[in-house]
Amino acid sequence: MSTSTRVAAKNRMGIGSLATGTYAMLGVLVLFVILPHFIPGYYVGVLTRVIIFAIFAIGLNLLMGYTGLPSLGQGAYFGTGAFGVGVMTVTYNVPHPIGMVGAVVIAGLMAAVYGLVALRARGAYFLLITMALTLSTWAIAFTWRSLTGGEDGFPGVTRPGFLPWSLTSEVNYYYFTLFFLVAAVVAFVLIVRSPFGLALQGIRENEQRMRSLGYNTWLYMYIAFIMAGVFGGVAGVLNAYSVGAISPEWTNILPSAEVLLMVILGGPGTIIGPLVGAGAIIGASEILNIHFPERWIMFLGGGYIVFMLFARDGMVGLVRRLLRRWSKR
Amino acid sequence: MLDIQDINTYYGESHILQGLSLQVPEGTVAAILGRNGVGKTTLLHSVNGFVPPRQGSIYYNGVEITKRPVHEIAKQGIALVPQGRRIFSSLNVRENLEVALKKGKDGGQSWDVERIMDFFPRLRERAHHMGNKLSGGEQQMLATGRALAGNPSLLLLDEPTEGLAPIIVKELEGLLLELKKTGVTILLTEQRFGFALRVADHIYVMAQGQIVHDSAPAELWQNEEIKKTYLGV
Amino acid sequence: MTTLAQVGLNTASLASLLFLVAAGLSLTFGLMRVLNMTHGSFYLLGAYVGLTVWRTTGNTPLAILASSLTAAVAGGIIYWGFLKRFSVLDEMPQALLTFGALLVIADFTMWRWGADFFSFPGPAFLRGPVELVGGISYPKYRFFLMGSGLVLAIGLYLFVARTKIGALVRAGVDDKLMVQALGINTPMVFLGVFVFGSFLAGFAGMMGAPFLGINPGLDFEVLILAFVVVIVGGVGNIEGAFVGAILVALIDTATKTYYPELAWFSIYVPMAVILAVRPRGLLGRGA
Repeated sequence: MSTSTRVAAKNRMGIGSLATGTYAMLGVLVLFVILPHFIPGYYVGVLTRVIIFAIFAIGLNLLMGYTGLPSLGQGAYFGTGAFGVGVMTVTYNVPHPIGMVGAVVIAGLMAAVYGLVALRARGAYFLLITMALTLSTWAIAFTWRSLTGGEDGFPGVTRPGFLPWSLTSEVNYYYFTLFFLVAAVVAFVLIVRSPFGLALQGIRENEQRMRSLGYNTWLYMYIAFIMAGVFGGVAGVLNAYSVGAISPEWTNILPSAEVLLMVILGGPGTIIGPLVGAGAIIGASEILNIHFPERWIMFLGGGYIVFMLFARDGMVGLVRRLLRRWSKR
Repeated sequence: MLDIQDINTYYGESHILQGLSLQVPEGTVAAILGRNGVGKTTLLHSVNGFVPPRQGSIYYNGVEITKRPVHEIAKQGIALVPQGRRIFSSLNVRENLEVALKKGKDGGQSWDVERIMDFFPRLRERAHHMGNKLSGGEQQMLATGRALAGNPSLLLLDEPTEGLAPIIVKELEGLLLELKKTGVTILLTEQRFGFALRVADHIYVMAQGQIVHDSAPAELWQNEEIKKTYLGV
Repeated sequence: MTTLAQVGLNTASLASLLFLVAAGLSLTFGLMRVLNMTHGSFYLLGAYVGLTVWRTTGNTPLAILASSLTAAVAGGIIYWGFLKRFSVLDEMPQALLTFGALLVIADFTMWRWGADFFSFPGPAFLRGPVELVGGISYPKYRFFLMGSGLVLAIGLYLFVARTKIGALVRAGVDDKLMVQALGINTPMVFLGVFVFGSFLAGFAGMMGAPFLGINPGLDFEVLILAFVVVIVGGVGNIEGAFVGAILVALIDTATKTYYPELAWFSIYVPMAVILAVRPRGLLGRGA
């Protein structure tokens, strides 16, 4: 592992140094903890979605931002996690904890199989293959009516209790998902700072060089691919409980593209980026939908274009650049 | 003359070339020696524009070419024979040469497909073979011929002998010396010490993104210190 | 026997349409490595404009021309105005930018033409069926579509395989940076291919209208089908788009006829299997 990659990893931690990054994360956490008490119930649901998609995006960020593998197929694991928990707990009456773990394991196994195919390619081809894999997952979910309900969807997913709390209340469920988000962020930080995570970043910078240094780069990428699938599975499980019904569309390209945009817009290769991206995209969709119910999609699309043109390093990168310019003055 | 002044080139976040300068006078052959990963390829890519340097300047015949688009640098008369040859595999040998045809900076077109095939008779035999059906030596000749088709005045050769059998290396050596007589300037990188010493007029030794030694070949031959420390010979 | 003939004819007409859309997508993807998400939008935008022209003038050839040119201009704007600003190696931001453009164009067409389903009967002399031997009758227009698809496929193949510009395009598919290192201004080549590919998509938009209709959401459907064709056939070559189009059309038509409940499954799952065996498609080069 070269020193320059280590330094690079440090620079990517937060908005500035390591310390400000940690403070920023703690600030965000405090905000997330107190926020439900100050906003109407509807927005608690919106925030829950932000949290779920943030977990989803963190997984993709590991793959894309830290390993350099942009996937347009994460919906496969999201939807599989959701159907996994739905089918097990509703159809087969499996206890919730087992159903949840089982669903995540299934999503991880799916990633382990798909990874074998997808990792035969890099770059835009990788994007294309992951897209093809999610399409075929959707086709299976759509066609296998007896299991998934097909285009009618899979209804009747009920939330479990959690120790003394009932999760049917939106606020309680919100905290339940927040717990998973914190766990996901902690796991993510541990992963990217471990020798394994640093090796992934080395691969992102120059795969050939890492290979010549004796790293089995394929294996590293494969493990990252499975990890991203696991995060997607967790998000899918949480979303199934949150919505109470599952649609085959969850395995399709649209959620895959949505989460990809969250990572890109937030700031790939940063820890806080996926959270910012998830918040910004879900927030923007809500606001635009209320104020411009007619043309909000056009604004959303225009927003993507502007960001790709002027802030390819995402919002975190943009803020960082502005801060740098500001501090130079 | 190629004049590289104090360039710093980065690959992603790694600082590869660290304040490197060198000059190659017109009509001469300069060879860069150094171990794997010292930045030899990056140096050639800095010149031809694949990886533009962040700081420093590169002049070619008095014209600044730093950070110019790749195709504009090529039009200044600079041609790259890349590492791994990068033959267009879905084109046959003749097509590989044809797509590269262009007039030189001076408007001259002394190299055309026929002359290239005269120079590399093996290419004529293989004219209708696809690019991916060639041996390593043939690929190297085709890559060199493809570079010549643009009638360059400066050839950048990146590890031309890599992976070639000794007998082919010998043949290539003869061809390069022949090429030198046409007046073309050559900057090449090498791992084969002996080959570089036989074809070059001047040798640069690179380590960690910098030139650590430069001299005539004969002088380097006698410098055991440099040979041992930087080249492992 | 009759249904078998129907399946064959439907396959050929759908394949023609898919080829028209996929050929451009395959070349732009092969050359620029840009996952161009707006390709289906060019199809739909062209079709809407063509429809408007047809309703105003009643002139079908003019409508087809308007459709093709609209798409070509839109493609030119997307490339020259946006994609060209990126380094050739920035594949991701380019793909995402085109995704943004997909949303903008989709919403624009919704705004301008609404959510209605439109149909376009095609030119008068091509309406009505042709009576074939064995008592089969089949729309004249579909034969016209097959003919155009075939002629364009042969023309495109010869262009790419035999001409100097075609060789340049193939070289670009192999290694675009190396092409630029030969002194060729690749952005101009890219623009040409992009505009031409978009032109074909717009052409397909109007040509396909008597067959598929014109309605919101068609942009995405066509895009995905074209991607499947490109993935199956292999990127960056005309033969791949041709073979892929026939295969996808055949599977789609056959399952819709015999096992309608398996319609999507039977297209996407074989695609994934092909990818697992040949990551670059049936006729793709390299690995």
